[in-house]
Amino acid sequence: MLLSIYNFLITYLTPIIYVVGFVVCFACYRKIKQKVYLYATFFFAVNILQLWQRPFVHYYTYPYSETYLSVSFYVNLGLMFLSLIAMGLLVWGFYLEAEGKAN
Amino acid sequence: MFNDLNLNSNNKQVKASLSRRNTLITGEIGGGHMESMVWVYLSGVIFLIIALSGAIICIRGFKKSRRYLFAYAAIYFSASVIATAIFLLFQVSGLFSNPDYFMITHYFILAEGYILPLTLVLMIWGFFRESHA
Repeated sequence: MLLSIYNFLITYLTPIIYVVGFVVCFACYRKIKQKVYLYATFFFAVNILQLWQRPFVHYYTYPYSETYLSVSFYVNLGLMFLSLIAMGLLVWGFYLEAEGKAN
Repeated sequence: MFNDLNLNSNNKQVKASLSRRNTLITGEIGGGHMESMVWVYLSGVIFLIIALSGAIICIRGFKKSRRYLFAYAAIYFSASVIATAIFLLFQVSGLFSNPDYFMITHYFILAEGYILPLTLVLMIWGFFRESHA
């Protein structure tokens, strides 16, 4: 029982946190129209997108799928830049909040 | 599982495990090795700068307004700064591909995988608390 909970957490903890973060921030943005919530929603959405590879991770082991590996490299590269932009926007949102320019 | 492995460079199982793990960390297959390493370093440094500025902004915001959202966000950004700095340090020193340091890098990745999501939970809690205050 304990082992299955542990395995469940290892596999699903991060995706669950991202989805919860996305839902909470999106709901908060709809309630209070502040930019930091919108940027946080975008940040969590990009994090969810970055999990796309998880179901296909077995392609990294033998037998390799060269097409998959080269495609995934460029997709990951794009997502990496997107995540940097999302993180930057989140920080910008916090800056606006801290300076009282949120609205 | 790892306690059963003989941690020397001739162990094929350790070598295969290291190779697969490094592929997952750096994404070296698909692009050239040098090319992908440049991206890893570049994104790591940019991420470090963004997270550091986020931590500074949030600490200043918390000092100014005493809002817990800033405190929780500062914890997340600080944890990100520390994790990224250690990751880059391991990359630069080549520890990820050194079988002698397999356990250290393995536990670092495990710890990072648990601590960062938990700090993220704190930040989500901060957002939730603020919007329902």
